[in-house]
Amino acid sequence: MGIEIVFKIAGIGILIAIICQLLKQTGRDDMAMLAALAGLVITLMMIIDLIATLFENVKQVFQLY
Amino acid sequence: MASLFKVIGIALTAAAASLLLRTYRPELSVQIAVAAGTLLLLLTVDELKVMSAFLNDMFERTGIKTEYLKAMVKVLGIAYLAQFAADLCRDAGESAVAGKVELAGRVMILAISLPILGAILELVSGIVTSYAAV
Repeated sequence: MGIEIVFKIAGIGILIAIICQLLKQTGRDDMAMLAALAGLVITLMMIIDLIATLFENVKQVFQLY
Repeated sequence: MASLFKVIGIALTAAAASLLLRTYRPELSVQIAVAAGTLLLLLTVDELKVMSAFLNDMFERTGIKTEYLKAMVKVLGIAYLAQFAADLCRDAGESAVAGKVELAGRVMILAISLPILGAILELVSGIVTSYAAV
């Protein structure tokens, strides 16, 4: 619950960028598109947990029901 | 106080990481901005917890009706989250969506503060009628 999530997303982003570049070179553009989509979905799954904890905290502190 | 350095550290590293990814995968750089924004908000919301606890017992001691304080804290929370979401949308290039988020925040704040407005108006009209009777 700190800086490591930013590094995780950056790592996934770099990995996906390389994979997409590779797939594009070998001519399989649709696979590249799918790889980019997969990267985005994984990142969103991580971010959703983070935002859920944020909303719980804010709801508790500000009594926002 | 130490969390300020943590906030600055997270913000700068997230900005660097987001810039790195902007050329290759722009959608992931927006995700990094969202993650960094959420982390920073989590850090500041802990500080605000102390403030709202202090306000609570101050209000109890002075005997002011606590629902005014509740409404004020709620408005603070709404503004806090709406600003967060609007800035992220603007960062991603969607300024129209950001405007709508801000509009929704304002409407909700208005909805919360209506009863207080009514109480103030009653107070004022009470004073006016009592003086007008003289």
